[in-house]
Amino acid sequence: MRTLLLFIFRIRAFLLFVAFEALCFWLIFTNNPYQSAAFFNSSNEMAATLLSYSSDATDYLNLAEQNQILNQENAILKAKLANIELLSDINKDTTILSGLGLSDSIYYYIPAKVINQSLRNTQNYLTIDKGSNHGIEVGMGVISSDGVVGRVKIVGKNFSTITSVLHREVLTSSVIQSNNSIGSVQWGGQDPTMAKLLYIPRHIEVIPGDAVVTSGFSTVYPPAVPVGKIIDKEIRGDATYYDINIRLSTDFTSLKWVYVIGNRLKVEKDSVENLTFSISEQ
Amino acid sequence: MSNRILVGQIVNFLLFILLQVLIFKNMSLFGVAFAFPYLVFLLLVPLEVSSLLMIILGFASGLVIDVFYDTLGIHAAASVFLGYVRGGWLRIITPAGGYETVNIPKVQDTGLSWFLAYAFPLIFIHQFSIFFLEAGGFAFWWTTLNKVLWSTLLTGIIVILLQYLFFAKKKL
Repeated sequence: MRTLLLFIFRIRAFLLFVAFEALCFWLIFTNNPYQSAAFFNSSNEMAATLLSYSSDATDYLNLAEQNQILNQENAILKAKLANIELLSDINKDTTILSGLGLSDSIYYYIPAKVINQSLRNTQNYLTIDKGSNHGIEVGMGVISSDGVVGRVKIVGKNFSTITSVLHREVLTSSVIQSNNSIGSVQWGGQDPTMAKLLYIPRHIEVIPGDAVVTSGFSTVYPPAVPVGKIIDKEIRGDATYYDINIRLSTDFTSLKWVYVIGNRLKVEKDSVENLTFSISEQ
Repeated sequence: MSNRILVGQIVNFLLFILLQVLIFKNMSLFGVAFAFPYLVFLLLVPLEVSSLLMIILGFASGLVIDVFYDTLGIHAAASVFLGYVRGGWLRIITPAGGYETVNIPKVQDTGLSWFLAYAFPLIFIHQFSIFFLEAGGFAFWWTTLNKVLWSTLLTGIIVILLQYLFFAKKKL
């Protein structure tokens, strides 16, 4: 007994080492999207406040560029608005467009600032300065003025963590705009400007340069948000699907402002779909 | 351990972790080399500190870095590993007579060649753990190893430069 205790005492450092490594590996493999894990990530109030101070300080360095991006976006929005006004003039008698009022449209946008971001990992996340106090919920889609960014993973009171599209386990339901063929966009794990479009069958004609946009089938993103542009395609001898490389629309290296998208009909759509599945299973 | 050394260690902890998460987090060279100067804190823990305490210090500092990097557990695991092997490594490279004048192994006090021999293997195993844990295995062996080697080099250089920047040579 005494020798056993002496032995344990002698290897105490090793035992402590094993215990701590076990704890670390448990943390790595159970890093889950639920509130219990919310403290140990960058949307934790203390860490996020520090990061947002740092972000405030460095904001001044690229004000000119950010102004230009906002300006361009304004121009695009103004053009779209002009089209809608034109249409509503033409269709004055009909009520088709009366539903376009912003207050009762399906999607609503919450602007947020990116205060922290990783690009070079195989699983990348962003932190934004809005949380449950501002109406952010887990699972909401996030876009920039250029295209898709990711979806909300963890929500704190005033900050949230976003799973970036640059995450190898994220699949974005997308379509090729010219022929509406449906696929999924997945990041390759290395280059933050490129991704792969999967599940496009070989009978579809794929043209490099075509735009890839969100499908709108999931309730995360609205339809037709840009995802990227097709760069090249390849199909191996007996493969069912193309290997397609796309260039992502969002420039993650200079991302500062994003919009979190809420869907007023999400609950209804999901519950109807769940009902359908449960009926078909019977 | 005297109070002065303890206060110095706490200052080191705060200083190098803040440097890490506010400045070096946003920095990478050519997408392959990353700097982790918070290792200055772990490397400069006094030599008298036991392996047990080193493991706990490694876990604490790694966990704080993980919170900011959103890599829960990875830096903690790597730093615990570093904390565990440091004691053994020190015993291997200790000269026969032991250390008489050096307690905190600053590069100014130990000499550059000793510090290189002390720090680079430790930095290497730390970076190795981080990048392979982060990649989730050995699937991208060569790309990951490339990152490990360049990051070890960059981190090593920055660890040495920061010591010349922040610490004075001990008066004998």
